[in-house]
Amino acid sequence: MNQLGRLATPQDAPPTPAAVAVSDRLRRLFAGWAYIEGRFDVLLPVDGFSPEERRSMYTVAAETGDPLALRPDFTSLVAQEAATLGRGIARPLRRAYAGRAFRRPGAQQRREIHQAGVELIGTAGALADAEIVALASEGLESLGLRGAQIHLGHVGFIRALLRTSGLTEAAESEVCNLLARHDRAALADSLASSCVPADAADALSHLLDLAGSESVLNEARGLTDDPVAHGALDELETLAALLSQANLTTPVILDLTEVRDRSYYTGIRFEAFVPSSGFPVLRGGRYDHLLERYGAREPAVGCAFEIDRIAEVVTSDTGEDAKTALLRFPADRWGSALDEARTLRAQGRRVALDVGHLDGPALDAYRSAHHIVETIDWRYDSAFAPERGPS
Amino acid sequence: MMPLTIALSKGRLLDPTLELLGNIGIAPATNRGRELVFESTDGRFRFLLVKPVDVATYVEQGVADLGVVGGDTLMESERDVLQPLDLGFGACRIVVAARTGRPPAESGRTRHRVATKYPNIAERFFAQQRIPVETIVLGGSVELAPNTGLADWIVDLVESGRTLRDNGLEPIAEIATTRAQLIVNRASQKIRREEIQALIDDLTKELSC
Repeated sequence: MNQLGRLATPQDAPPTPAAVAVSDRLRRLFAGWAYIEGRFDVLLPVDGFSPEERRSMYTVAAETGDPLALRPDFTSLVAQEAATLGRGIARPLRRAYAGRAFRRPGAQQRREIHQAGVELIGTAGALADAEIVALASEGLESLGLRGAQIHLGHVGFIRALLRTSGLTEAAESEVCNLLARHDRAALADSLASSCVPADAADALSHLLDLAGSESVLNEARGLTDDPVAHGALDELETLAALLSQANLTTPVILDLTEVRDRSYYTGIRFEAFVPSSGFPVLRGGRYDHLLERYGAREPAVGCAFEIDRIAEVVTSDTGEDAKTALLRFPADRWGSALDEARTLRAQGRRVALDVGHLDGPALDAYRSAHHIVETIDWRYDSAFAPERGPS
Repeated sequence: MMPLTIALSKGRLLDPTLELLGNIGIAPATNRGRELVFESTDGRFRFLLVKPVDVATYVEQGVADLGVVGGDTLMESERDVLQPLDLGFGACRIVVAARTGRPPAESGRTRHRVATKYPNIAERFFAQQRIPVETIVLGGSVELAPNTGLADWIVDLVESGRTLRDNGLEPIAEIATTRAQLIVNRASQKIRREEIQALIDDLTKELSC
């Protein structure tokens, strides 16, 4: 069904004050970790993207008739930049970004997403992974998100289980859909009717239990002998040990239950959740194949904060910014009133001049609609001491 | 601790849902009357009474952590929610039905016309079968469509099959059998995993008795 009419469309409107505050705070954090913010075009040639990615992108025709796309995310742009312009620069390369990207809406029904994130390019290994997770945790903390949790997993485990199961491509896709929906009963039926070896079927049917403390890793080891699967668990264990030294304030839950996006990531993956949002507020992981697309072979790990989702949750500490004083003045004293407003603004106040000479109900309506916390009356007889009335 | 919020479908699924919840010790705190929001006696759960088609939306958006919804409605909505438990009640079949005893004849048309309340399910099914169709979306009384010339076939929910027979229709293909489903918001499953798993375990135990 065509739902175009019902969805929010891309807008050239500035983000909300809350979104700006969230984005600014994260950009300061990224800069403090020595991540350099890149600047990226909104319109790009489509050649850098896979056919699957192109399906979710908006395209327009360039002057030449060639297709251009609205940027669908930033990670691929950072990868492209690192593999081309940034090719000769000594590694590791630390890159940050903040801005809006555009995608055909999936289930979450937003065409425009506002992201800020970081990429660490050119270094493999647990320390690089740990840096990104620690930075993510600091970001969540600096935003004052209460009750946040980071769920950390590794795609290597599920990929190894699927490989050893010997499922056909179609059956694998069916099994993964059921795993992604947590439909255990249908999963059991599907595995029973396939010719998956009993131990592999058992491992797949226990996958959804693998979330919690570090004991999860041992439970997972008990499900398979596959050395690749064990390698993934070892990597996760090393990372968890590093993170335990880091005094992170955000709890890290080991979670091997995610099966989606398993071909995008190549190693660790994580998402962060808060109690007051029905969607992840942050996603990240390792994608060592991403730069290959642009002719370079380099490891990369990064994460992206979902600014709009976070801004919906963080509203309390931006309310202060919106408080405004209304400066009222006689028509012939605009210049003096402007002087007074300038003084107040220099003190960091937000001041609106009452150019409409509002009174009575119109004044009341304006006050409540525009968060006027104070009304300042500028009069002839008090030219040097404006009289401040209550709001 | 915040209560877990459960969106319940008004209508035919409501009584069996409340009965099932009652059997595992979760009962509404007050005599509900006409309230659309109410809590359980122990304060651990909060319930929202919403239209069946809206349950999955409440859960996908995270306004409710869990929901109880008909399998047909869920299939049609294509919402991104977890579906961990088949609740067993509210069984229905989704079928393709045509007028009884009328074999297909040359019509000169290039595609069959299908009237339905379930355009997504219908389109997905006919695409899988590689049968070209034109879907006509109706709000109700779908069984009228073949007899009035609006459509050749209908895709509709069948409980006993009586409504079809009364309208001179018969099922010609079954698309799915559906039952009420427990659904869960993806983020809630992560952040309130233990509470949700305890509820699923209680329900599973009760359903297997």
